[in-house]
Amino acid sequence: MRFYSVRRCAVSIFSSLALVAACKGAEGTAGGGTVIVGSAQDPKTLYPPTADSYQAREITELLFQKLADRGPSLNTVGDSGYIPRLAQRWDWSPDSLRITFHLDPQARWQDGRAVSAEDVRFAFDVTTDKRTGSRIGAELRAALDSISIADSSTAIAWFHQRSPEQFDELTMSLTPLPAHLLRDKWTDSLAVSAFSRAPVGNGAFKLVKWEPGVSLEIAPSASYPGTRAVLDRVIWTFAPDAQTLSKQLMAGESDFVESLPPDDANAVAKQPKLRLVRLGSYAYNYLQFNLHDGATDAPHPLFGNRELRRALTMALDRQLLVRSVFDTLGRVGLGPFVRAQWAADTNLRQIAFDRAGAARVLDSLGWRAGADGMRARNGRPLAFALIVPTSSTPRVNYAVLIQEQLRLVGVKVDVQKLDFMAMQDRLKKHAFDAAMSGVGATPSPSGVNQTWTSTAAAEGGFNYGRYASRTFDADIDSAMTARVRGRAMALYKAAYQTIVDDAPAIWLYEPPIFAGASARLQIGPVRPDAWWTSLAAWSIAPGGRLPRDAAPTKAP
Amino acid sequence: MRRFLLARAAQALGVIALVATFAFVLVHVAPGDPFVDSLDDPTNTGALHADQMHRWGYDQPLPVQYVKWIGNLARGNFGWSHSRNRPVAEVLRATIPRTLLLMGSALLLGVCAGVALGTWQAARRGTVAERISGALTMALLAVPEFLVALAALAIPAATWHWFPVSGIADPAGWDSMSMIARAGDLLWHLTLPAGTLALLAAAAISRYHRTAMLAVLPEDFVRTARAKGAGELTVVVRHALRNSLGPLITIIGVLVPALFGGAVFVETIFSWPGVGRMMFDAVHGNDYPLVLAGVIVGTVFVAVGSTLADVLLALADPRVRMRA
Repeated sequence: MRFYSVRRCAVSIFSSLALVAACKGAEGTAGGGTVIVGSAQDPKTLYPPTADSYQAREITELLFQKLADRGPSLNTVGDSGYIPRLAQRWDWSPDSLRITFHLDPQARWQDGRAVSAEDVRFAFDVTTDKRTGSRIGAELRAALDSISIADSSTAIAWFHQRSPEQFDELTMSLTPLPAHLLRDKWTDSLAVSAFSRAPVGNGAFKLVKWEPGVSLEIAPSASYPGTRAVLDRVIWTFAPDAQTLSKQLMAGESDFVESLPPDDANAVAKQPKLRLVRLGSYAYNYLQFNLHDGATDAPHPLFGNRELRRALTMALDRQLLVRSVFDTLGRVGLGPFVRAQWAADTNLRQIAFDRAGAARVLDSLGWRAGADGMRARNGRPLAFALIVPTSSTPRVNYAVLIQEQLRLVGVKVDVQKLDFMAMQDRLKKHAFDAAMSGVGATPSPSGVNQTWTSTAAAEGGFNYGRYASRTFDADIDSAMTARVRGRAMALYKAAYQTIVDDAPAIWLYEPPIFAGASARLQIGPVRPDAWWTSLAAWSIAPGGRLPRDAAPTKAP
Repeated sequence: MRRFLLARAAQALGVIALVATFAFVLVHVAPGDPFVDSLDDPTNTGALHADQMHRWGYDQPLPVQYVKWIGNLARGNFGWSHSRNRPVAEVLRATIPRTLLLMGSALLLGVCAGVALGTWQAARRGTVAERISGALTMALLAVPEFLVALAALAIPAATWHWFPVSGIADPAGWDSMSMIARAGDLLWHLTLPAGTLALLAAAAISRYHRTAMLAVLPEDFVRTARAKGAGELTVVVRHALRNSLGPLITIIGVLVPALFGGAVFVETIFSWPGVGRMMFDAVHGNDYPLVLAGVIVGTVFVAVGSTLADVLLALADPRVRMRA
């Protein structure tokens, strides 16, 4: 009774005034509704060339259109399955070194100006300019020579050389920019200009307001020539704490949370008013061995030996590890790729779990178990340090479980939990024995070139364990230049098999990525690598409307 | 009094300079930098990273960077926030008022509740109720801020839905609200974060104030008031309470830095977009200029709080003024 009174008082005192406005809003015309998205952080910038973070990508891709977009098949070879966006159509030259894009004459910037070929060329120039500091600029520069203008609505892309993914590299990396607004500004100041915080785009949505650390609101753009977005507005609210985001969703304060921690995913699944949306996992995590002794070129005293690495892989029950950390939600890693990529091969020959077999191999290598069960050779214990970033709970959990499983075969693992930056520092200096690492991937399998080939082992590369295999390098190189997808798949498979057999890492898991959504949302199919691509078609179920769905009105 | 204020201001400036210098060195020698934000992104190449470091001057020797930073600071230029892509001054202009609102509300609530509780405990000394309340306040003092905040988030907000889980305002309705409705909405969002900080402040204040009251209650003037027939409430509130408020000013001065420290946790958990949350984001992203600005703001809060306490004490107690 007392609780009831307290609750009634609290609700009536603190929210009655706020509800006056909400009720006023509810009287407005029934529009498409409002969706509130809970996100962990701000997008930092809305300037497409430097929009590197996940949040920046999702919002800029709603405000700006590319020339073409990947279709549901997520193919990255050739132009099969690509959906025309700013470009109505495109033609290939016979030698594939030139692609001519014919722009949609209806396409407009949100200030009313037509999108022109000059906007495409301008975007290429600033994105590839080193002063912009664009991460995609280097890739674009490597693939493309230039962009020329045939007429105001025809842009021609000239490539250095033909490659199977040249279309994907161009269309995914280049976002046309309004040259008429930006041409007179210094290139190196564009990334920090007012435009980067309040851009004029050409997409289905326009930016309404952005209060850093608080919220960001977008609404359908009147200048967009395509079908108008169903929703009246989409509002991102930012909360750095994952628990807070989950609780916002459960309390009905948000409608969609783009990434739920595994524990909260299970809780959300049990709520009738909520549902889980499985997104594609474009990351794979692994225990990485340093194949060299620190930063020297000498082989690592333990992990320089291929058979030892294979034995350690054999000693781990990876299926059990996934179940222990992610329950039924996770998947075992299969190699340096993710299942969502078109070149993924789930039938690769894996190093199967066999604890007794692992013990036999270790015995044969001279690592004998002592009285305490721990192995040693010539007085040197079979022990190594495993570094793990404290910022990742799954990785920390994995490290502890691995420590226990390897103890059962007489291997001592010293788990060292490090701050994220300290971990990164150790990796870059190759100052580690083994590390709990992860790689973010894209639908293109060619990213493996930047993380596992011998060129990536050079200074500044991402092959921190410095794995080097000529066979692997050659297969990846050939796969990246194969023009027929079937041939490319075969080459990728051969490369994957080589690296899985060499075991420079133990492929542990593909982290499950779950979004949480209110059951009142009618979402439809979600593209696994980018949930926001279908946002314009989202709607509110007729029975699920809330006062906040009323069209916004100005304050009296 | 002017000399006193000038001396305190000079002292505060010295403290700020020292803390800022210390923070500058620590931030720069810690692993990482503003442009290494992901281990998992192969597109952030070494060459690109080096370009960015050069462009922003982070590849220069530390003393050179320090002199430039101090020079800019002297001109009122706090630098550029890499994580928020805007001038640091702009970020501070947005966040400081929110933190002042949070801390001010918490302090006001905490002082009122703490004084009331401390007074009541002193007046009821030795009773079961006083002992239980004393144990409870001790327990509260022992609990870290973030645990109290998490409990507040989990129960009154997420379970009972009495208050919003996070944020500073209703993101969907704010623009449509009248001024009065906005004030109500802000108050509604403020309740849990301010309440969490206030609870901890009240627990601390009540302990000190109880002791101060116990020292005053046996005084002759209190006995005289009773002898003259004043009621117990009048004796306690009008005579004893007024004479025990001196130490409270000092405690408030001490509480300001504690509240600011607590605000970092509370703002992060409740997504209150103030200086504490800004610091959390800045440290997370190695945003050097923003971290340093946050440290300076925090030090200023502490210095101002401490100076204000000294001034109030000097105003309230002529003996202190004379010594000063």
